[in-house]
Amino acid sequence: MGQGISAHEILADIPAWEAMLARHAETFAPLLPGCSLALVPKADTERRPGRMLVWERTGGDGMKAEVRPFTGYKGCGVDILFAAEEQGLAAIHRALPDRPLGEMKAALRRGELFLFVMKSRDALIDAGWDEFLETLGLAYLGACR
Amino acid sequence: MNKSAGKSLPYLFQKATWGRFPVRNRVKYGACCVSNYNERDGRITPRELARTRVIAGTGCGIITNQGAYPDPKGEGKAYFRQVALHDDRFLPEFEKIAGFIHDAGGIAVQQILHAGRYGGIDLGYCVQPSVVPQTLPHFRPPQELTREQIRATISHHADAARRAVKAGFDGTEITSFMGYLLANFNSRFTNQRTDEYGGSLENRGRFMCEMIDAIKQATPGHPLVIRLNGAELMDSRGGNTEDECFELMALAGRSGVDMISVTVGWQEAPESSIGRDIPPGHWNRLARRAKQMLPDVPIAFGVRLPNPEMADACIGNGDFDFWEVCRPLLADPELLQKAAESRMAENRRCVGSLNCLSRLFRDLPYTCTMNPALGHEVEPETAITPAAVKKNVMVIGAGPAGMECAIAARKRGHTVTVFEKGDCIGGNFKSYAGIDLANSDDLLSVVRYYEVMAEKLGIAIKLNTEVNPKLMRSVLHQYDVAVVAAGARIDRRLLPPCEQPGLVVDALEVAAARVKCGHRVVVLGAGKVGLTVAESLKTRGHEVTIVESAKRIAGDVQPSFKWRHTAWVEDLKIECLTGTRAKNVTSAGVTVVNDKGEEKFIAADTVVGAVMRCGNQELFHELEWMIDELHGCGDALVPRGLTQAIHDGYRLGVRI
Repeated sequence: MGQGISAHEILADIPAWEAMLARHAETFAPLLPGCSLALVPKADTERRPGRMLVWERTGGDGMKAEVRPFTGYKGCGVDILFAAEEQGLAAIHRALPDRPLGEMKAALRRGELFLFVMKSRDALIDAGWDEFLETLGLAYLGACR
Repeated sequence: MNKSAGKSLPYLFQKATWGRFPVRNRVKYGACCVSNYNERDGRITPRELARTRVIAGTGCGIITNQGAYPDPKGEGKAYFRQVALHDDRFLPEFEKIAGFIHDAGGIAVQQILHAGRYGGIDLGYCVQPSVVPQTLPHFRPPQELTREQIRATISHHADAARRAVKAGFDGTEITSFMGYLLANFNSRFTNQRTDEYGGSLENRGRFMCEMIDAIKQATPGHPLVIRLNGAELMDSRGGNTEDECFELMALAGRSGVDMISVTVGWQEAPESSIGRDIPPGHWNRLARRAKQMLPDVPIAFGVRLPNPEMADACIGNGDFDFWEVCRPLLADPELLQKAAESRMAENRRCVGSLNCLSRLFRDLPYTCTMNPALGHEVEPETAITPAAVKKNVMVIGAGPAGMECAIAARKRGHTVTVFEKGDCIGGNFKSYAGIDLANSDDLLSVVRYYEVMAEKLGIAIKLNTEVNPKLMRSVLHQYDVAVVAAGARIDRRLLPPCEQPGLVVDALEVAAARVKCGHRVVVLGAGKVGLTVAESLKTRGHEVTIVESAKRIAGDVQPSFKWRHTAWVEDLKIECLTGTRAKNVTSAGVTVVNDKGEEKFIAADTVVGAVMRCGNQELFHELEWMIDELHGCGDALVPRGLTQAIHDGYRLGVRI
């Protein structure tokens, strides 16, 4: 892991994640309370229990971040899941004070971050994820290219 | 076809045998697209029958009818109006289709398509070997198939195959193309089972082998085709490597399939497989490898291989046995006749715009950019029929809309003259096509087609001739009809204030190389024109910044191609200021202001206007009292794109 920080240490850097979420409040403003997204190290998708970092819209105005166990795709309980390669996760963490969403987009393009949608498109739109998905360029991903 | 037809392509038009069936040539019509022309419950419509009658007449030796889902619940149903084959009540229409194919001299194959991960369109869920969530938002959340459900699914396929044969089809086909159910079992990405259907390659391939066996037993004496990926393009997701794909192909070969169709890619693969940004012939190596590995199994192939000459050479080289082709035949159902008669210059080439698939994933019937009649075969009013009154028609503008109108009108017996103020056929489109990064030659083939057809049909083309009231007075009463197809221009009313006139140049003028840009360029507008110009300038060494007032770029770009421009902009490192508008332009550059009200100055040698376009409509008013019939089509009416220009022009041409 870059700069000697493990993936789990990166996930646990809650103050940095929450500061970033506060800075990007506009992107997450359309979300309904309880909507959530998780970042899981790719290695943790293959071991039980793994750990994931959850960003969740609170009942108030903001977003909170917390580490939860990852028990598999079925029970992860989030709307959107990103599985991250170690280097991708480290790059996003390094970019937290600067352009974290831009880095997420770049990591997706480099194949270091993988998107899984856990709900149908309509459910995601209704929940307010449109803006976030567009920010990452994911709304453009079409089938059959 | 005349007797000497096909001599220039000796391998493609060589007769063959496939099992007990003689095949008249080495062309297999591939069921690559579902039409979405049918009823919501899977019943085949007259629209579909009319289309398949055209497909039957393409002259292909083997014709595969589009994929039917095999299960009564619709878990295998991927597309909004996909045909079904889970009940005998569907058979009368399938009998008609098999009849069309046989009457036209073809071998009829019915594809059975269980979409697996991409299925369940009416159900809100899909079925898969394991619960691996979707990576594209428009597909449904997964449910894991139990062993019993696996057995039932295999049984549904065998029953559907039996029905197809009962309807008169000679053989059947199952498919793992694009990540359907078969691919989901075969792939490490979506098959994470720990029972006998998961784990090792042999276990993952068990579903495929059992299905092959079940269908072969259900339809003895009738060949079975399997479509298998030579490359999934899902390696980064943990999918199969290319070597594993070929091991699975070998397994299918050992299980007794009668033909393997080699395909490429999944719908959610992170890279292109069939778009026009992939050069023709790019994937041929996969077919070659399959043929070398399985010399005794007929191999069909056609992924991004739209050209019959290339296919002929491949068959001659022994790369594969049958050219599998679909989209080029949607674009031009007469492709094979033209190829056989060495008339390929008259071919309407598939330009790989993926209009067909873009619409399919919006739950719309597919249409074709190049073939405006596709999907309308059942409507006599869209066919080219002799005109009751032969007229003298003037078409103003030799872009796609004008030329389509001219060709259709001429074919109906009218006398047609095209007036073009520029020095060549093609209009703005030709300039745009010339700088397209994806595949300039594909787009320029459209212009070449117009040049050839104008000459063949005897359409008079008057270049360097601008139509205006003065010219009209000189030809007064010589024409019965005028068609304004004068295209569009950048709407200068939308440009920011300039320090002096002429500081902002028109993007279409830049595309046409009528304006030379300085080193530092600011492009105002990130629609397809602005993006294409910006990308082209950047590849030629200019320093380029794009300014777009909307939040996202590529707003007017076809859905399947938006990502391509996004990727190019990033790859070429073009600075893109979205949510930003130009405030004013001086000879030194542009002052812009973003959504937050922050101002910024961008130094520029050239500022290119690529804002919204407006139609060149002045002639509508000027000519109204000078001619009997006055019509308009294409961008002159509403600026859009190639597809709409072609369709507008054709529809008008068949109506005049």
